[in-house]
Amino acid sequence: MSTELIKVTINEQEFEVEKGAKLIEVCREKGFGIPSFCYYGDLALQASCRMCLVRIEKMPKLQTSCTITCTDGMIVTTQSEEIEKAQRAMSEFLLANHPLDCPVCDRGGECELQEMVMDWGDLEERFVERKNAQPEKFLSPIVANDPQRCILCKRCTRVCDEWMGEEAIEAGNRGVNTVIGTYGGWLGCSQCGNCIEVCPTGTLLDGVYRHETRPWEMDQTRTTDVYSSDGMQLSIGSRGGEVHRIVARDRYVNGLNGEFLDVKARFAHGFINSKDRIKTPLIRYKKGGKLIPSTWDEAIHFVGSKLKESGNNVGVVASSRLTNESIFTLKRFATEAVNSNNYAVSDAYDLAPFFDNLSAPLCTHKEIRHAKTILLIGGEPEEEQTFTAKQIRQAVRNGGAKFIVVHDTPIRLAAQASQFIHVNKGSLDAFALAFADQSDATITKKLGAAQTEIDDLLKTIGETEGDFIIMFGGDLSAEAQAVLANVAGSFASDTRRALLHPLPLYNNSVGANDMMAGKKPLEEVLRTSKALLIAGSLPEDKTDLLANKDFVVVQELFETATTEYADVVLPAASFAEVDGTFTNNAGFVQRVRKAIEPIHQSKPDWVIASMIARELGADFGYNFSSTMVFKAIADSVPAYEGLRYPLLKDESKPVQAKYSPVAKRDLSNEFAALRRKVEALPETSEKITETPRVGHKLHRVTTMTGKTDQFHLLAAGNPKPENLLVSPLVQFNLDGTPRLVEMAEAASVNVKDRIDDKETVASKVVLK
Amino acid sequence: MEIKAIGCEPLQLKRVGMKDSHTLKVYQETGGYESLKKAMNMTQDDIINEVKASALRGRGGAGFPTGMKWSFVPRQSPKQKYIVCNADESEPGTFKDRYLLELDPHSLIEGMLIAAFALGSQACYIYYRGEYRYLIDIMDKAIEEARAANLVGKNILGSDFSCEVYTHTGAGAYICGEETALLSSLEGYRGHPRMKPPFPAIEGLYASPTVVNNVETLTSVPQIIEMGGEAWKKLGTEKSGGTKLWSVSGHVKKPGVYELPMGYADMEKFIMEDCGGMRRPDKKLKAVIPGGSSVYIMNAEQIIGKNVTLDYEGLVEAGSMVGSGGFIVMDETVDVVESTKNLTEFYKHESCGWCTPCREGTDWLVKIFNRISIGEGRPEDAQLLLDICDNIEGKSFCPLGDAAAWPIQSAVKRFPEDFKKWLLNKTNDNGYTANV
Amino acid sequence: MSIITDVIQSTVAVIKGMRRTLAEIPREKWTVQYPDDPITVQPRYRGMHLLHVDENGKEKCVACYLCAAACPSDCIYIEAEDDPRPYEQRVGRDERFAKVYNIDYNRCIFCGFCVEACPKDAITHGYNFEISVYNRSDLLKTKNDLLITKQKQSKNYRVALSSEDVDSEYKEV
Repeated sequence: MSTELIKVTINEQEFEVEKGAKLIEVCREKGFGIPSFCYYGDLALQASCRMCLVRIEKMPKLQTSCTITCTDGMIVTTQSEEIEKAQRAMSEFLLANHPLDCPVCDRGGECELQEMVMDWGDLEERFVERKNAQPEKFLSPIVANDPQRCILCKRCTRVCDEWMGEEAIEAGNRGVNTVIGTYGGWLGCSQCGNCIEVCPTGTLLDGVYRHETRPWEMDQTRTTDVYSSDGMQLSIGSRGGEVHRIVARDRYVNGLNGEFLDVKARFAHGFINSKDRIKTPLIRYKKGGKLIPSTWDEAIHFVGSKLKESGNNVGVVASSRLTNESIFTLKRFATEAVNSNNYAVSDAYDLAPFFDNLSAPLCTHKEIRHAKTILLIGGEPEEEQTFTAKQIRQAVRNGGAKFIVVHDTPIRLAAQASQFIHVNKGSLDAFALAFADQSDATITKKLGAAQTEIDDLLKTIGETEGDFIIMFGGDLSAEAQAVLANVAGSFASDTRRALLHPLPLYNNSVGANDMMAGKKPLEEVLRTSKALLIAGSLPEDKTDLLANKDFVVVQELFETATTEYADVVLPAASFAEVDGTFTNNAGFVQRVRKAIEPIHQSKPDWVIASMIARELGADFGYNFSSTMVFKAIADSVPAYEGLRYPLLKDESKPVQAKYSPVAKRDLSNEFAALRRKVEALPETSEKITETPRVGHKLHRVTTMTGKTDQFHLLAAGNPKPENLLVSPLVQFNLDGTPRLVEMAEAASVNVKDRIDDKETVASKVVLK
Repeated sequence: MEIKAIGCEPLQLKRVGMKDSHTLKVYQETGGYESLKKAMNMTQDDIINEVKASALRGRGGAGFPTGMKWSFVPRQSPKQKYIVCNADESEPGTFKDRYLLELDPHSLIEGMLIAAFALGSQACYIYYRGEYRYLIDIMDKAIEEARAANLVGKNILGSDFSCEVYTHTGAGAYICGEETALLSSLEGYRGHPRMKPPFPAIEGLYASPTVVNNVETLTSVPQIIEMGGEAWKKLGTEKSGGTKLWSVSGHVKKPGVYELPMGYADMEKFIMEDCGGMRRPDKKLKAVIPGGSSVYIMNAEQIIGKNVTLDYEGLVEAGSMVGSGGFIVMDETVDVVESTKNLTEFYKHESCGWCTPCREGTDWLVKIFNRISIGEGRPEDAQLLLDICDNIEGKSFCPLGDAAAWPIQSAVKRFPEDFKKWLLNKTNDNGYTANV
Repeated sequence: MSIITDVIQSTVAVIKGMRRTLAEIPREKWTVQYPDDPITVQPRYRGMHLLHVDENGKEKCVACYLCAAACPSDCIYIEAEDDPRPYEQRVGRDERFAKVYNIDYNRCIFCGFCVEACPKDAITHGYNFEISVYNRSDLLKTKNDLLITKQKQSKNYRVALSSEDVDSEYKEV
């Protein structure tokens, strides 16, 4: 946007505004309220709600301010009798067929229609005719829909189209019968729920939070997502120690992701208050015995005495889902309490090669949105780093960015790509080598792609003016990652900035890598230690290694495969119950805030670790406050130097950890190893031609997501019930098989049971 | 059914009535495609200037000067330019284009080719109304005939001008007669109107410069080229040249399509003499909708003895509009409340649902009319109707909202007696006079 | 002071007092012989709340929390729940209903704001006024205590007829 200033007169006051600014934004910024429904800053213009009408001199009719770009000398009136009449008329029209069932509507209390009508509407209702009644129904286990409440602002369809690229919902029918509908009447999308978020009325509703409480009853806590590494900012709505819902609504939180969240971040919060949470410390006094509930004092004492026996053969494993504070304390536990260098992170994807060879700055999500060229090697952001995927989509769609995908699978995002290099199965390493070392043309044979494709790619990069971003995921080998991270910096030029973006799997993978400097590979730690302190669970294929250990302590939320080997299980607090920080894949250090008190007797992981440490005679100097832990982090981790909680307070201005690009290292060993790996690849290999199913990773049932029933249905293929009026959760077992009795019962639920105006039983209403 | 010209030589209706008038042979025998040849020897600017000089105004309803519309097209733009013929003739009371499409398809093809040549376009689309599907065969045959004669396709008449003509049908939506909605529909999207600006002349079909013209507008073009713009203009008035087709229906003896010169004097004479007068001689003239359903309805006092001229300015002066020339005559047996209800139901059914006032407003209006028609009307309903119409008019996204509001506004204002009967007495007799 | 004046003064005092007493005897009595006789309450008396049901016995409350929001002493606690069954089988009139509806009469000030706020006419003030208990925790009334179908109405009140002028009677005193 140009910085040229022009003069605009609004309500007889003159303002200087940037050229090309939208009139509605300018008016709102200058303090002249303008109501609107269909206008949404990030989406395509619609101009259909007609609420934002203003009078502009020299224009014949009232104009929609959302579609007007400011021009020099424009004279605008936003408040006059004529405009007020128009605004009142529009809100009257909108309310004409809108049911006044606010008491049962889950949006009541934070509904934009309510607010607009209160502020701009008429007191009196002249509409005395019968409303067009339609029943409330389900579009999926997660999305409920009340078409009658719809004001057809089409934010949902635009979000689905522009943010998610899924086009799962669209308007059907015409005129007053227009409804927001789906193809086949059932949502088969990734269930991100962004349509629910942007809906200004109660038309699209959260099926997980359905009829649980009301917005003003809840405490809203700003915090960070616990699933994806994008570090999306969200707001936890809790009431009386119970988490009811998670939203990113901009009235509660204003993070880097705006109102964007994905299905896990938004809906998979059932684990927090799950009845399966471990309630008290559990001790297995005898190997092969039962876990017996105990007290904290006894458990800590027991752990202390057993660990003393093991001396410095104690290994410490931290999950990369934990906060920086917890991981840092666990590392200190290893080095200071048990004097051991055996510490590791239980992450399948080690980021050390990436950060050790960082030759270019980390890119932020905003930079992805405005990038000129994006190169994605492996990974599947639309399933794992959903916000990154959204930014890529918008960069391509709205910013005209070139997007190049190198992948062995035609992932969904590849449909947006300007160039898709489809390589052989498992040969991404070969691409990394070919990309870093362009001298060797024989590699392309292993790749299954023509040399011209790589030439085209390099040409595109060479022509880029602006930001060039390389992203890659954990499906490359460590050597390949090191090589790619190292080579990225060499693409920078005077007109081009090269940026790197990792695609880690967990919310705090980056932080775990920072906190556990000098960590060892997970397997090595598991093999060499006699006793283990494990925070979080191990990947299931690694749990066998825990057999025959002298002593295993596990800090967990739930009983998992790992706790089966544990001698002591200590109840840990979930992310909603602790204060701390997560570091996302853009290096932003963002706050995690305590929304509810720890459930049952659970404690934050860092408190547990420091309690055990004190039992062993090591005092870390912090007992109660995570602020002190973070100060200790800032003092000892270089990238976090100078950071304090108050600096991280404002989620709209996230603070990036200071990762300095390292000098180019000699990577001949890595190159050699990579070359060996590539040479071992088969010459010919069949390509994967099938695009993976939507949600094949997002909808996976894990220890955490599995506590939200809806995810079981999604994982079971999201079956469509006979009667859409009743939640599919009632009609199906969790494995997706029909519950015949309940289904028959649900079949007796008719339209009359689901509409507010009981007299208007629209026999004509047909469910689509 | 009369199809004839009155007060002028038949131009549009020249070939109507001839045997096999839809064939290329007949068309060429009567001077067809001569204009194209003539035009291809002219420069592009000359053609546009000629059309400008003719004062040809769009015959679809809005009456925008066609030459001006053409001159907005950036001919230097590297993008493809498109000529789109709006044959989505859905306005109630209008059926003139149907006869042109059925009986004289080649004149449309010729008009489009001249327009395409003038604007440097290589593709023309004819967007048929869904209900006119049966007419497509005639046009397709005509295009094939023209192609065989090297009049359509590559290197037309041996020149380096190539142009293709395609036909396409809508699926039966009135809104697709609005030019931007037509373009959306043509592209395969929902038939929703688009935001203006950008105007179609700059970014229309597939975001390329596009001219959307009515059938009658395009069939006038060959005549203009043949006669010269000035001569053609002289047929009509200073501001709107040429002749215009009127589709006359309703309570007249001889309904049909009439070709009248612009500025034809006296509407009363047209109804009472040219159209044969009222169908039932003992019934008096009550109302006339002169330009298709979406213009102001006129009552008898506005017509009889007022010397209303039939052109754009004359009808505006008389309190209505030319619109698309759908001339609906009603005698005193017609209840204007019922006829307005009928029209409002049409607009409710055809509202696309994009913008609030049109979508909800038309639904509300219909509900009020339904209530009135079962005898539940209330005296304040008249004011309510006017107020709702006022709230729709000028605030909707596209002109459909205005079109829905105008007939009701004028009906309430010009036929208060009918409304009084319904709102106060709930019946059709007894003149209870209260202030409606 | 002599004894005689003392006696005289006392006698005068007794006579003065008895005159008042004797004068009151023939006049109309205001005292209600509670609990033998019922108390007359005004039609708009704000007693213990009642939760209403519709004509088919379905609870009218939809757990919209507006009463709780309006309550100045924060004494109403609700937990809402979804009931997907058909109308005939469910407890509430609507598919949303109050699983828990508690009023804490330790805190309630009987202001009637909850009644004003209710969009479904589900809660009103009843006439039961004898809510004193021996244990404070018994003042927490649940849905079972409040539902009109469950709440036992006391015999100790009589609702004044609307024609009765209860107010002015009290004003005289």
